[in-house]
Amino acid sequence: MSTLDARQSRLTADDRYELAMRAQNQQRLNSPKHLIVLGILLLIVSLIAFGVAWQTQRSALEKNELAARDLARVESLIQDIQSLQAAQAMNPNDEMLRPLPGILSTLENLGERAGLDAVGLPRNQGSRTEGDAELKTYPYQNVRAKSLESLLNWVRLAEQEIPGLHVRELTIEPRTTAWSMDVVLARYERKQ
Amino acid sequence: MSDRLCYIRRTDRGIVLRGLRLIGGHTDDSWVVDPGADPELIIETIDEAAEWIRQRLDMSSKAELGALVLDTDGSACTWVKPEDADPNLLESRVNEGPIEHDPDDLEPVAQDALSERIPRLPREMDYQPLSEDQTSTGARRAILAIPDVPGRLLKDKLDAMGIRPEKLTSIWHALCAAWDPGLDSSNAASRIVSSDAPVSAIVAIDPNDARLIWAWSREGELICAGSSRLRRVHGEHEPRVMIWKSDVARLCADWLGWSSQLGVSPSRVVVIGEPIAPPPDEETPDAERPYDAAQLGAALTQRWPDATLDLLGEPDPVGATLQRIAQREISGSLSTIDGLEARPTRAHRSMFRWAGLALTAAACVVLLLAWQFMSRANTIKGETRALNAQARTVLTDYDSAMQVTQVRRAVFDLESDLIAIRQRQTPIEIPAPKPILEALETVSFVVGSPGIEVTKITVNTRTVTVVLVVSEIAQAERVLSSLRSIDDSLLDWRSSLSPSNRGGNIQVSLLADWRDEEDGS
Repeated sequence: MSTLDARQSRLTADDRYELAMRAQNQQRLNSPKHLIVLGILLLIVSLIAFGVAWQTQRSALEKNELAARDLARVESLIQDIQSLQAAQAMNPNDEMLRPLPGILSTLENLGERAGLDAVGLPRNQGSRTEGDAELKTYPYQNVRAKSLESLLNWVRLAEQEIPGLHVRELTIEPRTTAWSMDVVLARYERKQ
Repeated sequence: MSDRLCYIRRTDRGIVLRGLRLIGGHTDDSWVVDPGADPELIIETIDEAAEWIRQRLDMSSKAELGALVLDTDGSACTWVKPEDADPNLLESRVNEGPIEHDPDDLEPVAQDALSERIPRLPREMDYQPLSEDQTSTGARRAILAIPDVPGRLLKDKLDAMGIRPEKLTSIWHALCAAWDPGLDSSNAASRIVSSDAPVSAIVAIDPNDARLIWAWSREGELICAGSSRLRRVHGEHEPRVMIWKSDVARLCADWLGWSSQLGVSPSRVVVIGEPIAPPPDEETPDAERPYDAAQLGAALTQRWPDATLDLLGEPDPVGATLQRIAQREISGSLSTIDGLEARPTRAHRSMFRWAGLALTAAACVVLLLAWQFMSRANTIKGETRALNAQARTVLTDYDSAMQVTQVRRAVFDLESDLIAIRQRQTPIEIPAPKPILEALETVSFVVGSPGIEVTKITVNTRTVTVVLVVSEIAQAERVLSSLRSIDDSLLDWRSSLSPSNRGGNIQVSLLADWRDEEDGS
């Protein structure tokens, strides 16, 4: 076995290298891996695009279903609200339970209409929850009048004019110059 | 029709093609070319060689090439540690080249022993570890280093012509396949349960290239190999070579080295060839005369005493070897040079192209699907916009003052409104108020009699209390009797009067309970 190196041959090292490279180039030509790499890259890109497109379509579909549900819900809600409003318009009880912010002034006015000088203001107004309603009480004490009829008229007018108002307690005492009345008026109001 | 094998004869360290032999079972065609010293000329030579092979194959009925067989020019076989028997590692070590040494450096030059034993021909070599199954466990491993650039170029050219050699091998592999006596015995003794195939040494004395080519084989598998130049005899019609004592000594020294490295030694030696011995010259001592065949046999027997020797007098051992393979049609079982065998061909190129095309087609299909998904997504988005617009229209129709920025928010607002309306409309059971004024009016009729003084009337939701002052108790009893006789289903008057004196009169308290409306009691 001799171990002569390329420098001892007739061909120069460059010539040998060129021949070897030609063989290598042909080998490279016969194994065009770049086509596979390119194909794989294209496939990866297309898979990414596919993923994005699929996600976009899924998202669009979800939004579409949501919009359809919203539309149906809006129509249903509006229909429910309108039917409830219509029913509310025909329900007399609702007026009876409606909170009345000006009830005290109304009672004062009714007192005047009944011929009373002044009914004053209720002392220790109460409020108690009973079910879905609140029972509000308006205790008037020592409402005086020369005529018992005026006092009772005031109470009657209050019951007639103010929806839902009723007498819860009534005490009448004759005084030397006039009648004195303690009355507790009450009214149920829908809870807010 | 037997196989046809093409023997490639090279020169200049195995890079220049200088001839071909196309050998069949009964044919032997030769093509010889003057080796060029220019890469372009060498390429042309290879083109011509390929064309010659094609023409010869076209002329035969079987236009197939059994094997391309490389000669030993420029090749080497050496041993390495088993862990170093890696073709890529060997190639990198050879390609690194000689280590640059600073002349002023006092340290000795570190030499890579392996790269010194392997031809330093960067990018030209194929390295092939030989079988370790046929050697002792833990021994060194033989490596074949073959410069095969002409083989690569010829294979490419033949491939371009549509000729695909079945095997790409070397003459060493061919010697083992053709002459290993252990291969024949193992085939014949296929029914024997266990046998120990001997290691055989095959020695070919090639007069055409003036080389002594040897290979160790077990069961036809190459274990190690070598070759050395021989002295040619000029002036003859046919080329002849002489073998001298030094040639045999060198051969046996090589074998000793290999035996120590691999742990096996040949027990049978097959010598193929006819070395020529010139007529005896009285002036030349016997020890310095070349050997004839008998002397060669005797010398080998003397130096390798335990081996059985077979001498086959073939004038053309290479031709005889390939012809034997062709006649036996065993070219398909030849071992191959892996690097050359694995070299990609047009079929590989086509496969790569088709694979690339298939991947591109798959990518296009996926892209098309993606485009369809996007298109469908756009359509759905349009439908969604239409639905939202319809919802806005419905909301605006319901309440023109409503500012609809988002339908979803409007849905929440409507739901809140609905809950509020429902709460407002929940039926509330209110207990019927007591008819206090009515009861008071009834009481006032009864107690308003002369002689009776009413001091207090109290009506609440539970009871009615009337406090009277009378002069006689009988008056009070009459009033109570009158009150109890009223049939208005409102009050139940109790019978007790609770009388007490008050300034000469009597004060009584009349007490009534409200009747329950359900039971009427």
